[in-house]
Amino acid sequence: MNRPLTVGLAELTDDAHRIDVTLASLPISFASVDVADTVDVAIIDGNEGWPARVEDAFAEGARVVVLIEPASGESIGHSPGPVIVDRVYAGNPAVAALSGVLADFSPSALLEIRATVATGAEMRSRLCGLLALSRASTNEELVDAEVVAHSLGGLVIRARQANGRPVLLTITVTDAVPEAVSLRVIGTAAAVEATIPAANAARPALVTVSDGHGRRQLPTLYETSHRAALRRARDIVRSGAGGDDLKAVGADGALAGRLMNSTATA
Amino acid sequence: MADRNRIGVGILGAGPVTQAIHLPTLVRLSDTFRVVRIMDVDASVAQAVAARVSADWTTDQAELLDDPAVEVVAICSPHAFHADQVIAACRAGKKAVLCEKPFAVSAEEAARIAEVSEQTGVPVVVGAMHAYDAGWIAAMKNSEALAPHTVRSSIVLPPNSRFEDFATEVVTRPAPFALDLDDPDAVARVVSGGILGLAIHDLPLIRQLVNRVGSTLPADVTVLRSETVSPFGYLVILEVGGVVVELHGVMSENWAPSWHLTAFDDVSALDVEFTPSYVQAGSSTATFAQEGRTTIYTPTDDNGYEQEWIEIGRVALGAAPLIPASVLIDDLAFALDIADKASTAARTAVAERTAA
Repeated sequence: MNRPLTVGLAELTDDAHRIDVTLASLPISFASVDVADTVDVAIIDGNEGWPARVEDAFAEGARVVVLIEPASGESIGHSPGPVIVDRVYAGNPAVAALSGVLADFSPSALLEIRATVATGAEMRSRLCGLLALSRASTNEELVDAEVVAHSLGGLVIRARQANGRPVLLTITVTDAVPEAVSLRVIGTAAAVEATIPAANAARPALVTVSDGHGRRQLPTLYETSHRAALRRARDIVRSGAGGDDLKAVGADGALAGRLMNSTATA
Repeated sequence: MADRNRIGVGILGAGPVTQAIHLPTLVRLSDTFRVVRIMDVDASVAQAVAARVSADWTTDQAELLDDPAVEVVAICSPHAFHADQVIAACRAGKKAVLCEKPFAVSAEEAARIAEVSEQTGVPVVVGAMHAYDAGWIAAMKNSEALAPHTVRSSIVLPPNSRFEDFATEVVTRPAPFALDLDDPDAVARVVSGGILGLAIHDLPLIRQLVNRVGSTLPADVTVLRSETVSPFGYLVILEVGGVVVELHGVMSENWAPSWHLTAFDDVSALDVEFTPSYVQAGSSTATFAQEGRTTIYTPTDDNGYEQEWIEIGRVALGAAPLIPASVLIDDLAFALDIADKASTAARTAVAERTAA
């Protein structure tokens, strides 16, 4: 049996992620260690300055880094090692199946991605999360995006993917309902809808497809994006494979920054 | 019940709306109403539809309006005829007029209708069934503190024929038409038609919501984005009285309907899920979430169509309309203004794209 991989949590500044709880659900794969020890997997918060922390982690011997919700717009030209980007919504394990379903829809159909966020939420990070979900669910890059409406109550963004697919991103601020993201595409003769919860608990994403045969729900996966990211990190260490999650981080951060700046100057 | 105790109804226009909505609704309310005469420009349609309810038929509007047995007139003709027909029915001294939405195609027409309605004393009710929907009314009564910053109307429907066929057996339907989405005028027509044919069901409700926090006068309506969406529909983003309003409507071949009106403020969220048009599937289900608690307003078996006919029965007997004429006019002005601005914006966007 493989020995548990050691994990360092020292760089986490946001205890809301509660990675310790997630680690406890993978006790054979991981063992948490003191910060002074060399770790196999370094878990790093994606707030300002994360590129330096990632490089430090590899310099100190980490074999893989799990980077949680990078939103600062920073990037790394060349990472010294594999980095798994842990996105609350894009990283939900249901998104892989969702992506498979969406591949069958014409790119002329509107992709709606809508988030409800709590009052006081940091909008740029939430927007980065939606941009990442757009890519993860369709495997397409956004090539065009503009803010259509913004207020203290939220944001409406109209975008387009490289394949021409129109995209509508909305963020609505309210404490009335839990933070979550919904996604919908209505095609000529079928539709897909998904509700992806925040990662504070292991509520499953709900993905339904309606077509000429009726409506079916994809299997529910009671796993948060954090746990899925840790499993990926484990598999990378054990297989020796690389990870290219960082490629998109800079682009998402830059686009989110541009869009948020446009709301400040409009 | 004896005929003399029931209100006689005459219907102008015998197309799918009359066949699939009003006749089934009037059967459910047959203790109050009886259909006495139906007019359509197509004699065979008029005759066939009238035969279903053992009514007389005609192709002549004046014949229907002159019929003393016709006490209430329902106007279900194409939009362009509504204003003149409402006015004619008022001048004919009927007890009440029900007009399908929109009841006019310009603010001037609406003002003329209001003037004639007041002069003649004939009340006018607009067939805005969602305004009479029990779920919506319950939700509004119990969410008085909701002051929305965001309102969204999303209507996803199969083609009307799917639901018309659940409600009745239709004779004659409008012919389908081809669409060129690179033609700016065609795009403008789709957007305007979507607003005045589909979104208009929810626009009076949206106006009620927005009026809680700001003005819905034309000067306070700004269209931020307007376009068609695939396979057939519209997406319009507005700012109205400081509220961001999204109007989204799609018709596809998929069977699954989804009709939601949602509103959010910082502490509360309202979601009203309506049943599709035509199918007499009861009222909406409204959900109001606030302070960690979600309240669901159980749907009733009667839908907005029944309630609007019950309203017609009330006003025909002399009661004051629940929705005053001034509100109907403001609702119409709101809808027409949005349709005009949104279709102009969509036309301009396509013209610029095709020119580039």
